[in-house]
Amino acid sequence: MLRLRTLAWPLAAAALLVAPSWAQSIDLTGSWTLAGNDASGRYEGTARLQQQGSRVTGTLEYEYQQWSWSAFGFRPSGRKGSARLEGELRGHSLSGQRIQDAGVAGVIAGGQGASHRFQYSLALGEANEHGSRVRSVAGKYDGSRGRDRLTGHRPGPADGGAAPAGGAIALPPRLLAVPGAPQEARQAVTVRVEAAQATLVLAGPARLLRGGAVVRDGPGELALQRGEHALQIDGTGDGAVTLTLRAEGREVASARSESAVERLYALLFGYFGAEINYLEGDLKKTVDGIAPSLPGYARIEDGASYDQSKIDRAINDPATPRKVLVDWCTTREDFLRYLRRGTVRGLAWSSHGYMEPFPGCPDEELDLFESRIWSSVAGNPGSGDAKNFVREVKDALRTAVATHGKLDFALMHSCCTGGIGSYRDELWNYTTPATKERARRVLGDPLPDYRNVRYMPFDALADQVDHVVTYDGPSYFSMFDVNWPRLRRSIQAGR
Amino acid sequence: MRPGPALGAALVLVVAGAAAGQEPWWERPDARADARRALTLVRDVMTATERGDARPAAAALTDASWVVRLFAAVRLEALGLDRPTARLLRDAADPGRGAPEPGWDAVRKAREFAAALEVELGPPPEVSEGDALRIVCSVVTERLRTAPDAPGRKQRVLEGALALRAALGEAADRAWLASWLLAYVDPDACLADLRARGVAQAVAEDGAKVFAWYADNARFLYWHAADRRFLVDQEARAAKASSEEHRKRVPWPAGEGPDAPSRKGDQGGR
Repeated sequence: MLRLRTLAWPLAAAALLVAPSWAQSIDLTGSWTLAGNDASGRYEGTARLQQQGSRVTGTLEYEYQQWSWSAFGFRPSGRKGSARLEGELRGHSLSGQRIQDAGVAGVIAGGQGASHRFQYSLALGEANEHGSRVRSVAGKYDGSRGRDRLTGHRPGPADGGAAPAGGAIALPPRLLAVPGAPQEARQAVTVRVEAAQATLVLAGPARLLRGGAVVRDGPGELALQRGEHALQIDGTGDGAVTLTLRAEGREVASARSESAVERLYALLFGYFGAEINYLEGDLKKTVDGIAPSLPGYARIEDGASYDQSKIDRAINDPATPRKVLVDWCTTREDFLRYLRRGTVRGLAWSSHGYMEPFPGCPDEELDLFESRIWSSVAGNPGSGDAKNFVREVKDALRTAVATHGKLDFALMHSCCTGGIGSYRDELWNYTTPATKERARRVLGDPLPDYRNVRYMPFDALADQVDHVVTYDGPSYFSMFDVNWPRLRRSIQAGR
Repeated sequence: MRPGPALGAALVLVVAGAAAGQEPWWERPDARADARRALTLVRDVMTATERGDARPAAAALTDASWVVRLFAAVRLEALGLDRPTARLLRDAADPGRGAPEPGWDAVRKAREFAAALEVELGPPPEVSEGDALRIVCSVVTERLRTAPDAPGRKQRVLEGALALRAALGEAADRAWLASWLLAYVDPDACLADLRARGVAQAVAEDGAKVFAWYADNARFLYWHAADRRFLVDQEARAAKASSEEHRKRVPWPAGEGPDAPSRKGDQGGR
């Protein structure tokens, strides 16, 4: 006995030393046998998981069991259920959200039941008959009211097929289409080809790239040699996307995803200057005035810290194609970048503003007073970084209009977005000095007054926007000059 | 046109601010009562018009307070009153003029518009006292920074908003009013005098120190046209004379004072 105890410790240590290979390459992709219980009873079924990096998604389909005295055991009750998993694998722990499906089976687009946090643990051991070392994935959800246990791992495509000899595809479950900036929505897709040659077939609204260059734009085929192929994919429209790998006359792997075109409502706040103490209240009024008409839209914002990284991290999340963007402190670069995504459906802008001839315009436009709005210095809405003119906004909105049709609304809440108004006696007072000097040389001194110039206000957006709101002269901080019910009536959130 | 009271900036103007030891005009009972009335009316009209009922706004077009009249004109335009009529009504809402007659064309037209407006009344919105405060101050801000008023009138317009202080039940709203004041009255001088590191520290819970500082320094202020705000005439203050009086004896050096170039370089927010 003593000899055994003396030997046991070094043997265990040696086992730990050789064990790392199990922990390094855990891949939960494949099909599983499912058993569990929740408040409605015990159930049995199947699970299909797909893993990409540390991100794991999956579907559970099961049937509740009921006790049968005649059989003296549990038998299927006919009541079925299903759920989705969206989680992260860290070490031997898998956690995330378990979303009960609202329907009877499968995922119903746009609808979902209860969502609960789950926490599962992996148990590893010797490889099973299918080559998997993961003996079980088990744990709780909904507090301790639910338990799932996945066993019998069959590695391979999440559609449940056996691991083919021909290859595998790792495809993200959701794709985002951003027509004006497709590189923003690009995600990795890997394809392993084991045959000498194979054909990858793309179906649905998506585009494949390799090294940033498009190799397949829309449905069609791509020839691949043996090896591991690191590609990229982004969505190009709404709909199901499938990748199928064919080799030697048969299908060896397939994967499915869902692509959605982004729908973006942008609520943006620029330079407030001395009126900075109105920013928080006006922002809240704008959000309260618009957001209730956008149910189901994810809200992303930088917040009172003006932390742009919060927006940048969230804006390209393919899980939330419908989003309300709230930027407390919008720079010119960010302003134009948002519009050029080609996905804007509504725009609300607040800042200081005025009118002047476009800097650098041809001489024949020096008498054309164009509305312009101030964006803010990064992190400091008390300071302005640039004037943004009508022509620039119109140009930046072109792709959005091509994508979704006319915007629902554009609320241009800045002074003079609709005309010079009561500021007419100060017409030239805030013109860029170089422009004013050039105007004196071309138009004469004294410069023409408000009756003898032309105007281009933001009403020029009418061919791109259904409901345009502008201000002739002053707009007022505290937003009491906005008709929120009228604006809300313009919103078509479901489109 | 009929003359209007305090927040209506009565035509009977005396030196802006208060001589040492006297209660500032904006803290007198009549000024406070008028400010409270105007604040309540703005709140009531905002509530009604947010629901879709334009009639209280149309009724307010002949109110004694120019702030209320201007606010009402802007609300009616937001609800669809034509721009030319709205502009006439806004132009008439001047602190130097009394209320228009009910029979005036623009008032009549606006009231006909409000009466004819068919809307589905929505649920009553929540319009707080703080919301009404911000509306009033927004109207005052626009007048202060834009209208070609003489500096004395500008200061009177600014001080009319200070009369709201007593009407505000929440300390946070009084603090907001104080921070609003410092946007247009030499924050650097105030922070230095109060030995505060920033506006938030100077304002503290209810702005009391900032209001007291303003009362002590009101007569030393001059209007800086380029930055569109009041600044302290330090030389006048050292001489214990109002800026207006001091500069009669000691004119501003060239390039200094009211006509000095902008210190902020941002075109005063334009």
